[in-house]
Amino acid sequence: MIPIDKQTLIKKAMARDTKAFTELIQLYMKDMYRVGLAILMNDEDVADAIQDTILTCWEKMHTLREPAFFKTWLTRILMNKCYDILRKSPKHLPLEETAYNQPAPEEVDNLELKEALSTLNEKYRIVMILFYSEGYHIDEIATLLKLPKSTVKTRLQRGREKLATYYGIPKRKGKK
Amino acid sequence: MRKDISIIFKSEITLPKVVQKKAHLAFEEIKNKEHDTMKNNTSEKRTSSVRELFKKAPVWAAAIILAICVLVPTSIGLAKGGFSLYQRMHQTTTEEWLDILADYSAIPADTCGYSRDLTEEEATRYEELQLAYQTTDISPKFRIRYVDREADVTGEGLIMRLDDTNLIIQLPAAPLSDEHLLELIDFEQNISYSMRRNNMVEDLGGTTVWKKMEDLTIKEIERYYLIYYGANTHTSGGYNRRLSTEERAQYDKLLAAYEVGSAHPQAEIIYIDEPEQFTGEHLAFCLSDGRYYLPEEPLSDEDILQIIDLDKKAYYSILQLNEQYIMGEREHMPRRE
Repeated sequence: MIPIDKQTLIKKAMARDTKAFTELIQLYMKDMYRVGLAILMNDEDVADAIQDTILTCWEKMHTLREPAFFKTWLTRILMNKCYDILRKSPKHLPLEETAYNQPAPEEVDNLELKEALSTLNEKYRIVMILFYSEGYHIDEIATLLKLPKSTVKTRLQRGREKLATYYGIPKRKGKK
Repeated sequence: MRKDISIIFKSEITLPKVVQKKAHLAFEEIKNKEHDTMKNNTSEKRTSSVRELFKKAPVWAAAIILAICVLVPTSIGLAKGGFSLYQRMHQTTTEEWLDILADYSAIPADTCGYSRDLTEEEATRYEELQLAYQTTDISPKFRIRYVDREADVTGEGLIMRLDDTNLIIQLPAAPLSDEHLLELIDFEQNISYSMRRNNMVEDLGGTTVWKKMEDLTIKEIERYYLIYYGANTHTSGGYNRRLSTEERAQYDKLLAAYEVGSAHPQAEIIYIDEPEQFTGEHLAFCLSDGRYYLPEEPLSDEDILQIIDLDKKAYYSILQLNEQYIMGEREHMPRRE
Protein backbone atom coordinates (compact mmCIF):
# COMPACT_ATOMS: atom_id res chain seq x y z
CA MET A 1 0.00 0.00 0.00
CA ILE A 2 1.23 3.50 -0.74
CA PRO A 3 1.03 5.92 2.19
CA ILE A 4 -2.13 8.00 2.44
CA ASP A 5 -0.43 11.32 1.80
CA LYS A 6 1.08 10.03 -1.43
CA GLN A 7 -2.25 8.57 -2.43
CA THR A 8 -3.90 11.94 -1.92
CA LEU A 9 -1.24 13.63 -4.01
CA ILE A 10 -1.73 11.06 -6.76
CA LYS A 11 -5.48 11.64 -6.77
CA LYS A 12 -5.02 15.38 -6.87
CA ALA A 13 -2.45 15.12 -9.63
CA MET A 14 -4.80 12.90 -11.62
CA ALA A 15 -7.40 15.63 -11.21
CA ARG A 16 -4.87 18.01 -12.80
CA ASP A 17 -3.76 19.81 -9.69
CA THR A 18 -0.38 21.19 -10.77
CA LYS A 19 0.73 21.93 -7.22
CA ALA A 20 0.02 18.40 -6.05
CA PHE A 21 1.74 16.99 -9.14
CA THR A 22 4.85 19.04 -8.44
CA GLU A 23 4.86 17.91 -4.83
CA LEU A 24 4.37 14.30 -5.87
CA ILE A 25 7.22 14.31 -8.37
CA GLN A 26 9.51 16.01 -5.86
CA LEU A 27 9.04 12.98 -3.62
CA TYR A 28 10.50 10.77 -6.34
CA MET A 29 13.23 13.05 -7.69
CA LYS A 30 16.08 11.21 -6.02
CA ASP A 31 14.70 7.85 -7.11
CA MET A 32 14.46 9.17 -10.64
CA TYR A 33 17.98 10.52 -10.52
CA ARG A 34 19.43 7.19 -9.37
CA VAL A 35 17.64 5.26 -12.11
CA GLY A 36 18.57 7.81 -14.75
CA LEU A 37 22.17 7.80 -13.62
CA ALA A 38 22.33 4.00 -13.79
CA ILE A 39 21.38 4.13 -17.45
CA LEU A 40 22.99 7.33 -18.70
CA MET A 41 25.90 8.01 -16.29
CA ASN A 42 25.79 11.67 -17.16
CA ASP A 43 24.03 14.35 -15.11
CA GLU A 44 23.14 16.51 -18.10
CA ASP A 45 21.46 13.62 -19.88
CA VAL A 46 19.74 12.46 -16.72
CA ALA A 47 18.39 15.99 -16.26
CA ASP A 48 17.00 15.94 -19.81
CA ALA A 49 15.42 12.53 -19.26
CA ILE A 50 13.83 13.66 -16.00
CA GLN A 51 12.52 16.84 -17.60
CA ASP A 52 10.89 14.83 -20.40
CA THR A 53 9.56 12.30 -17.91
CA ILE A 54 7.87 14.97 -15.82
CA LEU A 55 6.16 16.43 -18.90
CA THR A 56 5.02 13.03 -20.15
CA CYS A 57 3.74 12.03 -16.73
CA TRP A 58 1.67 15.18 -16.53
CA GLU A 59 0.21 14.57 -19.96
CA LYS A 60 -0.63 10.96 -19.19
CA MET A 61 -1.54 11.35 -15.52
CA HIS A 62 -5.27 11.03 -16.11
CA THR A 63 -4.72 7.75 -17.89
CA LEU A 64 -2.64 6.22 -15.14
CA ARG A 65 -3.68 2.59 -15.24
CA GLU A 66 -3.20 1.74 -11.63
CA PRO A 67 -2.63 4.57 -9.16
CA ALA A 68 -1.22 2.13 -6.62
CA PHE A 69 1.70 1.50 -8.97
CA PHE A 70 2.53 5.12 -9.65
CA LYS A 71 6.22 4.73 -8.89
CA THR A 72 6.58 1.78 -11.25
CA TRP A 73 4.76 3.73 -13.95
CA LEU A 74 7.01 6.75 -13.43
CA THR A 75 10.13 4.58 -13.49
CA ARG A 76 9.01 2.91 -16.71
CA ILE A 77 8.50 6.26 -18.40
CA LEU A 78 11.86 7.50 -17.17
CA MET A 79 13.65 4.40 -18.40
CA ASN A 80 12.08 4.80 -21.84
CA LYS A 81 13.25 8.41 -21.95
CA CYS A 82 16.75 7.36 -20.93
CA TYR A 83 16.91 4.68 -23.61
CA ASP A 84 15.62 7.21 -26.16
CA ILE A 85 18.53 9.46 -25.25
CA LEU A 86 20.98 6.58 -25.50
CA ARG A 87 19.64 5.66 -28.92
CA LYS A 88 19.64 9.18 -30.30
CA SER A 89 22.88 10.48 -28.90
CA PRO A 90 26.03 9.58 -30.81
CA LYS A 91 28.16 10.97 -28.03
CA HIS A 92 27.54 7.96 -25.83
CA LEU A 93 30.44 5.59 -25.61
CA PRO A 94 29.96 1.87 -25.46
CA LEU A 95 28.65 1.10 -22.03
CA GLU A 96 31.77 -0.62 -20.82
CA GLU A 97 33.77 2.52 -21.54
CA THR A 98 31.36 4.88 -19.83
CA ALA A 99 32.85 6.91 -17.06
CA TYR A 100 30.99 9.15 -14.68
CA ASN A 101 31.38 12.91 -14.73
CA GLN A 102 33.25 14.61 -11.99
CA PRO A 103 30.63 15.98 -9.62
CA ALA A 104 30.38 19.60 -8.61
CA PRO A 105 31.79 20.28 -5.13
CA GLU A 106 28.30 20.48 -3.63
CA GLU A 107 27.48 17.04 -5.01
CA VAL A 108 30.17 15.03 -3.27
CA ASP A 109 27.38 13.05 -1.62
CA ASN A 110 26.92 11.30 -4.95
CA LEU A 111 30.54 10.26 -5.30
CA GLU A 112 30.23 6.87 -3.68
CA LEU A 113 27.23 5.87 -5.75
CA LYS A 114 28.79 7.11 -8.97
CA GLU A 115 32.00 5.30 -8.25
CA ALA A 116 30.15 2.04 -7.63
CA LEU A 117 28.11 2.47 -10.79
CA SER A 118 31.18 3.24 -12.87
CA THR A 119 32.56 -0.21 -12.14
CA LEU A 120 29.57 -1.85 -13.81
CA ASN A 121 28.16 -1.75 -17.28
CA GLU A 122 24.59 -0.61 -17.88
CA LYS A 123 22.87 -3.96 -17.82
CA TYR A 124 24.18 -4.60 -14.29
CA ARG A 125 23.83 -1.00 -13.10
CA ILE A 126 20.11 -0.71 -13.76
CA VAL A 127 19.33 -4.02 -12.10
CA MET A 128 21.45 -3.15 -9.05
CA ILE A 129 19.86 0.29 -8.69
CA LEU A 130 16.32 -1.03 -9.05
CA PHE A 131 16.99 -3.78 -6.53
CA TYR A 132 19.15 -2.09 -3.91
CA SER A 133 18.27 1.59 -4.16
CA GLU A 134 14.65 1.43 -5.24
CA GLY A 135 13.64 -1.73 -3.44
CA TYR A 136 11.94 -3.45 -6.36
CA HIS A 137 11.48 -7.20 -6.17
CA ILE A 138 13.02 -9.43 -8.82
CA ASP A 139 9.57 -10.02 -10.38
CA GLU A 140 9.00 -6.31 -10.69
CA ILE A 141 12.43 -5.70 -12.18
CA ALA A 142 11.81 -8.47 -14.69
CA THR A 143 8.56 -6.78 -15.73
CA LEU A 144 10.11 -3.32 -15.86
CA LEU A 145 13.05 -4.46 -17.97
CA LYS A 146 11.05 -7.03 -19.94
CA LEU A 147 13.58 -9.70 -18.97
CA PRO A 148 13.14 -13.22 -17.64
CA LYS A 149 13.45 -13.44 -13.86
CA SER A 150 16.43 -15.75 -14.24
CA THR A 151 18.29 -13.06 -16.21
CA VAL A 152 17.58 -10.49 -13.53
CA LYS A 153 18.91 -12.86 -10.88
CA THR A 154 22.03 -13.57 -12.90
CA ARG A 155 22.69 -9.89 -13.46
CA LEU A 156 22.26 -9.16 -9.78
CA GLN A 157 24.71 -11.91 -8.93
CA ARG A 158 27.26 -10.72 -11.50
CA GLY A 159 26.81 -7.12 -10.38
CA ARG A 160 27.49 -8.11 -6.80
CA GLU A 161 30.55 -10.10 -7.83
CA LYS A 162 31.98 -7.23 -9.86
CA LEU A 163 31.51 -4.82 -7.00
CA ALA A 164 32.99 -7.30 -4.55
CA THR A 165 36.07 -7.60 -6.73
CA TYR A 166 36.35 -3.82 -7.05
CA TYR A 167 36.04 -3.22 -3.34
CA GLY A 168 38.11 -6.25 -2.40
CA ILE A 169 35.28 -7.87 -0.49
CA PRO A 170 35.90 -11.58 -0.02
CA LYS A 171 33.45 -13.88 -1.78
CA ARG A 172 30.93 -15.58 0.43
CA LYS A 173 31.09 -19.29 0.51
CA GLY A 174 28.11 -21.61 0.22
CA LYS A 175 24.73 -20.16 -0.55
CA LYS A 176 24.68 -17.53 -3.27
CA MET B 1 27.91 -8.57 1.23
CA ARG B 2 24.35 -7.50 0.51
CA LYS B 3 24.55 -5.22 3.50
CA ASP B 4 27.68 -3.50 2.18
CA ILE B 5 26.22 -3.01 -1.26
CA SER B 6 22.99 -1.78 0.21
CA ILE B 7 24.88 0.93 2.02
CA ILE B 8 26.47 2.14 -1.19
CA PHE B 9 23.25 2.06 -3.17
CA LYS B 10 21.13 3.57 -0.44
CA SER B 11 23.61 6.27 0.44
CA GLU B 12 22.21 9.78 0.63
CA ILE B 13 22.57 11.68 -2.61
CA THR B 14 22.24 15.31 -3.60
CA LEU B 15 20.34 16.24 -6.71
CA PRO B 16 22.74 17.99 -9.08
CA LYS B 17 21.81 21.57 -9.89
CA VAL B 18 21.30 20.75 -13.55
CA VAL B 19 18.69 18.14 -12.60
CA GLN B 20 16.89 20.56 -10.30
CA LYS B 21 16.95 23.24 -12.98
CA LYS B 22 15.50 20.99 -15.69
CA ALA B 23 12.81 19.71 -13.34
CA HIS B 24 11.91 23.27 -12.45
CA LEU B 25 11.64 24.10 -16.16
CA ALA B 26 9.28 21.17 -16.63
CA PHE B 27 7.07 22.29 -13.74
CA GLU B 28 6.96 25.82 -15.14
CA GLU B 29 6.03 24.51 -18.57
CA ILE B 30 3.21 22.47 -17.04
CA LYS B 31 1.87 25.46 -15.13
CA ASN B 32 1.93 27.60 -18.25
CA LYS B 33 0.34 24.87 -20.37
CA GLU B 34 -2.39 24.40 -17.83
CA HIS B 35 -3.11 28.10 -17.78
CA ASP B 36 -3.31 28.08 -21.58
CA THR B 37 -5.61 25.07 -21.48
CA MET B 38 -7.96 26.91 -19.15
CA LYS B 39 -8.03 29.79 -21.56
CA ASN B 40 -8.58 27.55 -24.56
CA ASN B 41 -11.35 25.66 -22.84
CA THR B 42 -13.34 28.80 -22.75
CA SER B 43 -12.10 30.43 -25.90
CA GLU B 44 -13.82 28.45 -28.60
CA LYS B 45 -17.28 28.39 -27.20
CA ARG B 46 -19.17 31.44 -28.30
CA THR B 47 -18.50 35.08 -29.06
CA SER B 48 -15.29 36.91 -29.66
CA SER B 49 -15.73 38.63 -26.30
CA VAL B 50 -15.77 35.20 -24.72
CA ARG B 51 -12.33 34.60 -26.13
CA GLU B 52 -11.06 37.32 -23.85
CA LEU B 53 -12.41 35.75 -20.69
CA PHE B 54 -9.18 34.33 -19.40
CA LYS B 55 -6.83 36.56 -21.26
CA LYS B 56 -6.15 38.79 -18.33
CA ALA B 57 -7.65 36.72 -15.64
CA PRO B 58 -5.18 36.28 -12.83
CA VAL B 59 -7.88 36.42 -10.19
CA TRP B 60 -10.16 33.93 -11.82
CA ALA B 61 -7.33 31.78 -13.05
CA ALA B 62 -6.28 31.44 -9.42
CA ALA B 63 -9.82 30.61 -8.46
CA ILE B 64 -9.97 27.95 -11.14
CA ILE B 65 -6.76 26.41 -9.90
CA LEU B 66 -8.26 26.44 -6.43
CA ALA B 67 -11.38 24.87 -7.78
CA ILE B 68 -9.44 22.11 -9.45
CA CYS B 69 -7.78 21.42 -6.13
CA VAL B 70 -11.08 21.23 -4.31
CA LEU B 71 -12.40 18.78 -6.84
CA VAL B 72 -10.37 16.10 -5.13
CA PRO B 73 -11.83 14.75 -1.92
CA THR B 74 -9.86 16.11 0.98
CA SER B 75 -10.45 12.81 2.70
CA ILE B 76 -9.41 9.89 0.54
CA GLY B 77 -11.72 7.48 2.31
CA LEU B 78 -14.06 5.53 0.12
CA ALA B 79 -17.72 6.48 0.38
CA LYS B 80 -19.04 3.59 2.43
CA GLY B 81 -22.66 3.20 1.41
CA GLY B 82 -22.86 6.97 1.48
CA PHE B 83 -22.46 9.83 -0.88
CA SER B 84 -19.41 10.52 -3.01
CA LEU B 85 -18.37 13.47 -5.10
CA TYR B 86 -18.54 11.13 -8.09
CA GLN B 87 -22.23 10.51 -7.47
CA ARG B 88 -22.84 14.24 -7.13
CA MET B 89 -21.08 15.15 -10.36
CA HIS B 90 -22.71 12.32 -12.27
CA GLN B 91 -26.19 13.58 -11.46
CA THR B 92 -25.54 16.11 -14.19
CA THR B 93 -25.32 14.93 -17.79
CA THR B 94 -22.35 15.59 -20.04
CA GLU B 95 -24.43 17.93 -22.18
CA GLU B 96 -25.40 19.90 -19.11
CA TRP B 97 -21.75 20.14 -18.07
CA LEU B 98 -20.77 21.41 -21.47
CA ASP B 99 -23.62 23.91 -21.31
CA ILE B 100 -22.46 25.13 -17.91
CA LEU B 101 -19.02 25.77 -19.35
CA ALA B 102 -20.43 27.46 -22.46
CA ASP B 103 -22.77 29.69 -20.43
CA TYR B 104 -20.02 30.69 -18.12
CA SER B 105 -17.67 31.32 -21.01
CA ALA B 106 -20.22 33.58 -22.66
CA ILE B 107 -19.91 36.19 -19.91
CA PRO B 108 -17.63 38.85 -21.38
CA ALA B 109 -15.26 39.29 -18.45
CA ASP B 110 -11.51 39.61 -18.18
CA THR B 111 -11.24 38.57 -14.57
CA CYS B 112 -13.42 36.99 -11.95
CA GLY B 113 -13.17 37.10 -8.19
CA TYR B 114 -14.92 37.87 -4.95
CA SER B 115 -15.94 41.39 -4.00
CA ARG B 116 -13.95 40.96 -0.78
CA ASP B 117 -11.55 38.46 0.78
CA LEU B 118 -12.92 35.71 2.98
CA THR B 119 -12.23 36.24 6.68
CA GLU B 120 -10.20 33.63 8.52
CA GLU B 121 -13.36 32.20 10.10
CA GLU B 122 -15.09 32.07 6.73
CA ALA B 123 -12.10 30.35 5.13
CA THR B 124 -12.05 27.72 7.89
CA ARG B 125 -15.76 27.10 7.54
CA TYR B 126 -15.35 26.97 3.77
CA GLU B 127 -12.94 24.05 4.15
CA GLU B 128 -15.27 22.21 6.51
CA LEU B 129 -18.20 22.64 4.17
CA GLN B 130 -16.07 21.68 1.20
CA LEU B 131 -15.39 18.31 2.81
CA ALA B 132 -19.09 17.92 3.61
CA TYR B 133 -19.93 18.82 0.00
CA GLN B 134 -17.62 16.08 -1.23
CA THR B 135 -18.82 13.35 1.07
CA THR B 136 -22.49 14.06 1.78
CA ASP B 137 -25.44 15.26 -0.25
CA ILE B 138 -25.38 18.70 1.34
CA SER B 139 -26.14 21.36 -1.28
CA PRO B 140 -26.90 25.05 -1.39
CA LYS B 141 -30.52 26.06 -1.76
CA PHE B 142 -29.60 28.50 -4.51
CA ARG B 143 -27.00 28.75 -7.20
CA ILE B 144 -24.95 31.84 -7.86
CA ARG B 145 -26.67 33.76 -10.64
CA TYR B 146 -25.19 36.05 -13.23
CA VAL B 147 -27.11 39.31 -13.27
CA ASP B 148 -26.40 41.90 -15.93
CA ARG B 149 -28.97 44.56 -14.97
CA GLU B 150 -29.64 46.25 -11.64
CA ALA B 151 -33.33 45.48 -12.03
CA ASP B 152 -32.59 41.74 -12.01
CA VAL B 153 -30.94 41.81 -8.60
CA THR B 154 -33.77 40.19 -6.70
CA GLY B 155 -34.38 37.20 -4.46
CA GLU B 156 -31.96 35.21 -2.37
CA GLY B 157 -28.61 33.66 -3.13
CA LEU B 158 -25.34 35.21 -4.19
CA ILE B 159 -25.05 36.96 -7.51
CA MET B 160 -22.21 37.84 -9.80
CA ARG B 161 -22.11 40.96 -11.90
CA LEU B 162 -19.87 42.57 -14.39
CA ASP B 163 -17.99 45.52 -13.01
CA ASP B 164 -16.41 47.08 -16.07
CA THR B 165 -14.71 43.97 -17.44
CA ASN B 166 -14.41 42.17 -14.13
CA LEU B 167 -16.84 39.47 -13.08
CA ILE B 168 -17.43 39.93 -9.38
CA ILE B 169 -19.18 37.53 -7.04
CA GLN B 170 -20.86 39.90 -4.62
CA LEU B 171 -20.29 38.90 -1.01
CA PRO B 172 -22.29 40.59 1.75
CA ALA B 173 -20.35 42.61 4.32
CA ALA B 174 -21.82 40.49 7.12
CA PRO B 175 -20.18 37.11 7.86
CA LEU B 176 -21.06 34.59 5.16
CA SER B 177 -23.66 32.01 6.09
CA ASP B 178 -23.21 28.30 5.36
CA GLU B 179 -25.63 28.77 2.47
CA HIS B 180 -23.42 31.46 0.96
CA LEU B 181 -20.29 29.37 1.36
CA LEU B 182 -21.99 26.35 -0.16
CA GLU B 183 -23.02 28.46 -3.13
CA LEU B 184 -19.37 29.44 -3.64
CA ILE B 185 -18.19 25.85 -3.29
CA ASP B 186 -20.88 24.60 -5.66
CA PHE B 187 -20.05 27.27 -8.23
CA GLU B 188 -16.31 26.64 -8.22
CA GLN B 189 -16.81 22.90 -8.24
CA ASN B 190 -19.13 23.09 -11.20
CA ILE B 191 -16.91 25.34 -13.27
CA SER B 192 -13.82 23.25 -12.69
CA TYR B 193 -15.64 19.98 -13.28
CA SER B 194 -17.26 21.22 -16.47
CA MET B 195 -13.78 22.09 -17.73
CA ARG B 196 -12.49 18.67 -16.83
CA ARG B 197 -15.44 16.93 -18.42
CA ASN B 198 -14.85 18.99 -21.55
CA ASN B 199 -11.21 17.85 -21.61
CA MET B 200 -12.20 14.22 -21.25
CA VAL B 201 -14.74 14.47 -24.05
CA GLU B 202 -12.16 16.06 -26.33
CA ASP B 203 -9.51 13.51 -25.39
CA LEU B 204 -11.82 10.69 -26.34
CA GLY B 205 -12.57 12.19 -29.74
CA GLY B 206 -15.63 14.39 -29.29
CA THR B 207 -19.18 14.37 -28.03
CA THR B 208 -20.48 11.76 -30.48
CA VAL B 209 -18.05 9.10 -29.26
CA TRP B 210 -18.49 10.15 -25.66
CA LYS B 211 -22.27 9.88 -25.83
CA LYS B 212 -21.98 6.47 -27.43
CA MET B 213 -19.68 5.31 -24.64
CA GLU B 214 -22.01 6.63 -21.98
CA ASP B 215 -24.28 3.68 -22.75
CA LEU B 216 -21.66 1.35 -21.25
CA THR B 217 -22.52 0.09 -17.79
CA ILE B 218 -19.91 0.10 -15.07
CA LYS B 219 -19.61 -3.70 -15.44
CA GLU B 220 -18.85 -3.29 -19.13
CA ILE B 221 -16.38 -0.52 -18.36
CA GLU B 222 -14.57 -2.78 -15.92
CA ARG B 223 -14.63 -5.58 -18.46
CA TYR B 224 -12.98 -3.45 -21.15
CA TYR B 225 -10.43 -2.19 -18.67
CA LEU B 226 -9.49 -5.74 -17.73
CA ILE B 227 -9.39 -6.90 -21.34
CA TYR B 228 -7.11 -4.08 -22.42
CA TYR B 229 -5.00 -3.40 -19.37
CA GLY B 230 -5.42 -6.55 -17.31
CA ALA B 231 -2.20 -8.05 -18.66
CA ASN B 232 -0.27 -5.23 -16.97
CA THR B 233 2.53 -5.44 -19.51
CA HIS B 234 3.16 -1.78 -20.37
CA THR B 235 2.47 -2.69 -23.97
CA SER B 236 -1.32 -2.73 -23.99
CA GLY B 237 -2.71 -1.78 -27.36
CA GLY B 238 0.49 -2.54 -29.27
CA TYR B 239 0.58 -4.46 -32.54
CA ASN B 240 2.47 -7.62 -33.46
CA ARG B 241 3.50 -5.99 -36.74
CA ARG B 242 3.75 -2.49 -38.13
CA LEU B 243 0.78 -1.05 -40.00
CA SER B 244 1.52 -0.47 -43.66
CA THR B 245 1.30 3.08 -45.01
CA GLU B 246 -2.02 2.21 -46.63
CA GLU B 247 -3.37 0.72 -43.41
CA ARG B 248 -2.26 3.78 -41.45
CA ALA B 249 -3.99 6.10 -43.93
CA GLN B 250 -7.14 4.01 -43.82
CA TYR B 251 -6.96 3.96 -40.02
CA ASP B 252 -6.91 7.78 -39.90
CA LYS B 253 -9.81 7.98 -42.33
CA LEU B 254 -11.92 5.49 -40.41
CA LEU B 255 -11.04 7.07 -37.08
CA ALA B 256 -12.43 10.39 -38.30
CA ALA B 257 -15.59 8.62 -39.50
CA TYR B 258 -15.92 6.70 -36.22
CA GLU B 259 -15.61 9.90 -34.20
CA VAL B 260 -18.50 11.56 -36.03
CA GLY B 261 -20.60 8.41 -35.77
CA SER B 262 -20.62 7.48 -39.43
CA ALA B 263 -18.59 4.27 -39.11
CA HIS B 264 -18.60 1.52 -36.54
CA PRO B 265 -17.65 -2.15 -36.53
CA GLN B 266 -20.21 -4.84 -37.18
CA ALA B 267 -18.80 -7.13 -34.51
CA GLU B 268 -16.48 -7.09 -31.52
CA ILE B 269 -12.89 -8.13 -32.00
CA ILE B 270 -11.94 -11.77 -31.37
CA TYR B 271 -10.11 -12.36 -28.09
CA ILE B 272 -7.45 -14.99 -27.60
CA ASP B 273 -5.87 -15.98 -24.31
CA GLU B 274 -2.30 -16.54 -25.50
CA PRO B 275 -0.28 -15.46 -28.56
CA GLU B 276 0.07 -19.13 -29.57
CA GLN B 277 -3.66 -19.20 -30.34
CA PHE B 278 -3.23 -16.63 -33.11
CA THR B 279 -3.68 -18.36 -36.44
CA GLY B 280 -2.40 -15.50 -38.58
CA GLU B 281 -5.66 -15.39 -40.53
CA HIS B 282 -7.91 -13.13 -38.45
CA LEU B 283 -7.39 -10.07 -36.33
CA ALA B 284 -7.35 -10.85 -32.60
CA PHE B 285 -6.62 -9.18 -29.28
CA CYS B 286 -4.53 -11.25 -26.89
CA LEU B 287 -5.50 -11.07 -23.22
CA SER B 288 -2.20 -12.31 -21.81
CA ASP B 289 -0.06 -9.58 -23.37
CA GLY B 290 -2.65 -6.90 -24.21
CA ARG B 291 -1.57 -6.75 -27.85
CA TYR B 292 -3.34 -6.80 -31.16
CA TYR B 293 -2.39 -9.65 -33.47
CA LEU B 294 -2.83 -8.55 -37.04
CA PRO B 295 -3.25 -10.94 -39.96
CA GLU B 296 -0.52 -10.97 -42.55
CA GLU B 297 -3.04 -9.88 -45.16
CA PRO B 298 -3.87 -6.14 -45.23
CA LEU B 299 -6.42 -5.16 -42.60
CA SER B 300 -9.99 -4.78 -43.77
CA ASP B 301 -12.09 -1.75 -42.81
CA GLU B 302 -13.94 -3.96 -40.34
CA ASP B 303 -10.62 -4.98 -38.73
CA ILE B 304 -9.54 -1.37 -38.38
CA LEU B 305 -12.89 -0.34 -36.94
CA GLN B 306 -12.70 -3.15 -34.41
CA ILE B 307 -9.30 -1.87 -33.31
CA ILE B 308 -10.55 1.72 -33.07
CA ASP B 309 -13.62 0.61 -31.15
CA LEU B 310 -11.66 -1.34 -28.57
CA ASP B 311 -9.07 1.45 -28.20
CA LYS B 312 -11.85 3.97 -27.55
CA LYS B 313 -13.71 1.74 -25.13
CA ALA B 314 -10.50 1.03 -23.22
CA TYR B 315 -9.65 4.72 -23.09
CA TYR B 316 -13.15 5.61 -21.95
CA SER B 317 -12.96 2.90 -19.30
CA ILE B 318 -9.76 4.28 -17.86
CA LEU B 319 -11.15 7.82 -17.80
CA GLN B 320 -14.27 6.64 -16.00
CA LEU B 321 -12.50 4.39 -13.53
CA ASN B 322 -9.99 7.10 -12.72
CA GLU B 323 -12.90 9.49 -12.13
CA GLN B 324 -14.31 7.02 -9.64
CA TYR B 325 -10.94 6.68 -7.96
CA ILE B 326 -10.27 10.40 -7.78
CA MET B 327 -13.72 11.15 -6.40
CA GLY B 328 -13.77 8.54 -3.66
CA GLU B 329 -16.06 6.06 -5.38
CA ARG B 330 -13.50 3.27 -5.74
CA GLU B 331 -10.35 2.28 -3.90
CA HIS B 332 -8.41 0.66 -6.72
CA MET B 333 -8.67 -0.42 -10.32
CA PRO B 334 -10.32 -3.74 -11.24
CA ARG B 335 -7.88 -6.63 -11.13
CA ARG B 336 -7.86 -9.98 -12.84
CA GLU B 337 -8.47 -12.85 -10.46
